[in-house]
Amino acid sequence: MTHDIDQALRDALADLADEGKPVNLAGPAIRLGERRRLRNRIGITAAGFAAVAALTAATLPWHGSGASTLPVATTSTPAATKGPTQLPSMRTGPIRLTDGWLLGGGSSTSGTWYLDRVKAQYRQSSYYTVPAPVGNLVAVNDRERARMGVLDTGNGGGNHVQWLGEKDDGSMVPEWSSDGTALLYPGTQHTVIARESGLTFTKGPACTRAPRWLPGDIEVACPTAGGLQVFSATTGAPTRTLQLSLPAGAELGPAHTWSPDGGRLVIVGSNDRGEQVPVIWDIATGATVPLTSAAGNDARTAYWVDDNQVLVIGHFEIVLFRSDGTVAATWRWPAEFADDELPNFTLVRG
Amino acid sequence: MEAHHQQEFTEFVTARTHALFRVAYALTTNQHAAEDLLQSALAKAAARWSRLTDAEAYVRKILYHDYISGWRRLRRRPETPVGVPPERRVSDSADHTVLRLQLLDVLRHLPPRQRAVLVLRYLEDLSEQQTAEILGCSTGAVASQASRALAKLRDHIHPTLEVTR
Repeated sequence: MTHDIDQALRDALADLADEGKPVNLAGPAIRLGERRRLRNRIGITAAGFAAVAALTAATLPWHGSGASTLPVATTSTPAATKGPTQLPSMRTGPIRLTDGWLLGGGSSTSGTWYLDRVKAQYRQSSYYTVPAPVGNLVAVNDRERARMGVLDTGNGGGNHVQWLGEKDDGSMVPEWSSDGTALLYPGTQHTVIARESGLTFTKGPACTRAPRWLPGDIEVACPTAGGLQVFSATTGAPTRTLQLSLPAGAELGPAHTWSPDGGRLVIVGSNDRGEQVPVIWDIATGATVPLTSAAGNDARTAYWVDDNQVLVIGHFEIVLFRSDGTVAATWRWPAEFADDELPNFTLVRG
Repeated sequence: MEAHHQQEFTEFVTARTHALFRVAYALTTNQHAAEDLLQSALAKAAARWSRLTDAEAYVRKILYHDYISGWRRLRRRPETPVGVPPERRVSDSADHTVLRLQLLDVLRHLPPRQRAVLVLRYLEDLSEQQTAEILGCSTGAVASQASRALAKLRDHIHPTLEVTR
C-alpha cells in the first residue's frame, strides 16, 4: 500500500468515525445492565464447562439425515399466563421447546454447544456451530481461519470436521436447507451452497447482505436495495428479482424468515412504542404484526413452527408467538449460557 | 447497581462517550446501529461494574466482539448513504479526496472482521499484537485479515490514484 493510500485510509476512517453524533447512553445502559444482572441471578448455579471437544480435520462422507428417537428432557410448554420457564441444563440431554422443535444448540463468545442426535446429548466446541434442522450434520464455522466445515455426528460419533474447499468470508451465519442436506454461506468471492458430502458446490453471485433460502429450497435470495435477487440453488444462475415494498421503517434483516406458505416474512420493524422488534409482514396485504415480548426485543433469529406460530430467540429468552402477536410461551436460557454475552441459539426439528 | 457505582459509571460514560462512539460508528457506519452497539457494550460493563479493573478496555473489547459476532446483525438498521460528503481537509489534493471517498465506499462493504481490523490498526493506531489481543486471535490472523481488506481496497480504487510519494 502506498503512502498516499495509507494516509487516505486513516483520513477516511477518521472522517467516518466523525460522522456519528455521540449520545450519552449511561441511563439506558444502567437499566439494561440491571436487567442482565437480574436475569443472571435467577435460577443460576455455577455450571463449569466440560472440556471443549476437539474438532480435527478429516474428509468423510456426510451421512445426512438419520432418523433417531431421542430421549428428551421434559420441558412442558408453559401456559401463556405464567412467567418464563427455566430451561434445564444442557447436560440433561436434548431439550424440547414445543412440539416438533428441540434446542439444537447455542453459540456464544466462549464457545458453542450443539446437539449430537446419535448420542442424544449436547456437545461442546470452540467453533461456531449450526446444526442442520434435520439429520446429523452440523456446520462448523472457524471464524479465526475463515473456513467452513461440516461435522457428521452420524459418522461413528467422532469429532471429525470436513473442512470445505470453498472458504467462508467469516461475516455471516450459515444457513441449512430445510431438509438439512445443503449448506448456504457467503464465500469470499461467491455465495456458496455445499452439498453431497461437501464435494459439490454451487456458486451464486456474491451477496453483500446475508443470503437466505427461499421456501422449497430450490432458490436462494440475496437482499438488495430494492428487494431480493433470486438465483437457482442448483445452477447458481440468477433467475428473477423480487421487488419488496417493505413497511415504512422496516428492513429485511439478515435473518429474515419465510413462513412455510411463503406468504409472510419475519422482518425487523417496530411496535407501537417505536421499539425495534421482529414483525410478521404479510406480503400480499402489507399488514404487520409486531412480536413484542416482556423481556426485551433484541430478537435475532426467528423460526416458523407452523403457519400460525413463530419461535423468536430474544435478548434474554426464547419466546413462542402466535401469528397474532400474542405470546404463547416463554423460556429462559439454560444455565450454561447465563453469563454469556448474547448467545445465539439454534432450533432443530425433532 | 449501588449509588456510588452508578455515579462512577455515569461519569465514565460521560467522559468516554465521544471516543467510544467514534469506534462504534466507524464499525457500524450507522448512527442507530452504533448506538445499539455501544449501549449493549456499556450495559455489559454496567452489569459487572464493581468487578471491572479497566472499564474502557472492557467496553472496547466488547464493542469489537459484538460487532464481529454475526448473531447481532438482526438488530442493525439499514445502512444510510452519506448525504453530504465528509468535510475536506485543507491540505488535501483533489485526488486524495477522491481516493478517500472511494475508500469510504469500500470500507462500508467490508466484512465485519476485516473492517474491525482496519479500525483497530488505522483509526486506533494499534499494533498487530494489540489488535490481536482485543480480537482474541493470533497476530497472523490479524495480518491475514488486514491483507485481505487492503487488497479489496486496492481492487476498488481507481488505479491512477495509487501514486507513491
